[in-house]
Amino acid sequence: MEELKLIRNLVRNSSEIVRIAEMHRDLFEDYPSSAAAAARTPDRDPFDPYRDSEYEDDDRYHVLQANHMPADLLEAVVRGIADADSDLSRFYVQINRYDRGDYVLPHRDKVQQGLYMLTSSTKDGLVAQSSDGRMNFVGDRAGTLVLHDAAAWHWVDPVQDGPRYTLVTIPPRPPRKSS
Amino acid sequence: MIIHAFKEHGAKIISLLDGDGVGVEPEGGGGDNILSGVAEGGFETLDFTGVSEDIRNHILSALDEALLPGPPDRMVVRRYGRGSYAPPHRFREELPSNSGPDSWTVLCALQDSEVDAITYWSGEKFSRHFDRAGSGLHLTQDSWCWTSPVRGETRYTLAIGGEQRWKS
Repeated sequence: MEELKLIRNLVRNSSEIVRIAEMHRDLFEDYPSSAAAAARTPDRDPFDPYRDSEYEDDDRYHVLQANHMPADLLEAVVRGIADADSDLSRFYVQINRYDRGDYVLPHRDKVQQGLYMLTSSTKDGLVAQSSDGRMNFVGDRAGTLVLHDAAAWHWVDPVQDGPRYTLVTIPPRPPRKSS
Repeated sequence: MIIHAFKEHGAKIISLLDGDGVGVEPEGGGGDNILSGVAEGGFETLDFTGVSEDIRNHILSALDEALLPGPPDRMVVRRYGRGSYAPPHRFREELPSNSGPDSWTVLCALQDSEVDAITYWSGEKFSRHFDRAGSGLHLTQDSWCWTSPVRGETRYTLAIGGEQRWKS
């Protein structure tokens, strides 16, 4: 398993991205979806640790994918994490918003992702497994890129502050045009 | 459901635990949690079977038993150092062998914390119950729960349970 790594101060315009994202809260997609919430039965198990990592209706947060972002928001995101040599045609990015009480349940990913923290908090953060097998709390600090192995267990406990904003990317860093 | 199970706060109990000199063996989560063998919790467990009657009696005298679901007959104290955690597990696993049809479990923190908590399924969503000395959490036995890595000083929890309910 790869090391759990933190790269601080990578996104220098975090507050700008958050400010613009807050202006477009209505564009975010909700998890669970209203259809999934309506279909729930009282006897369902609320947590399947081995669920498909793409299944997110047991989680509770809000997502805005790059292809739905308004131009000013996408421009701010790209300026924050990419440069002129970045090949954005091979780069996926979404913004996650967590309002108070929102969470992501413990899970593992299929592919390695980049997790960029856009807000700071003394209470909230990511819990992620490191290469020695232990779980670690990484407190939210705006601008930080968190890199963990795709197979590492990780989760976000119900958020106390909020809104909490992150970027999720695949791959973690933009590919280079020259590569 | 939150139960204010202690007539008094847990500080006295903690002082007894710290001063008891009872050997507390690291257990590391164990049991049937989803990360067993992968991400061990590293907390220590003190089972009251065969150890200090003074502490057991003090805890029982501090409890308001009428607030519990039934007569308490089993207790486990867990001590978490900074960074220790309990991976996701069913609430019944807070007390080993606590699985009968009428069994119940209440989990109490023994100190206050603004950062350390248990995350649990409330029946509608996952929530966090932050540590409040003497405040117990009573969940259905199948509820999922976990404790994320402890950020404060040493954290104690007391799991109380039984196999019978009070007759109504």
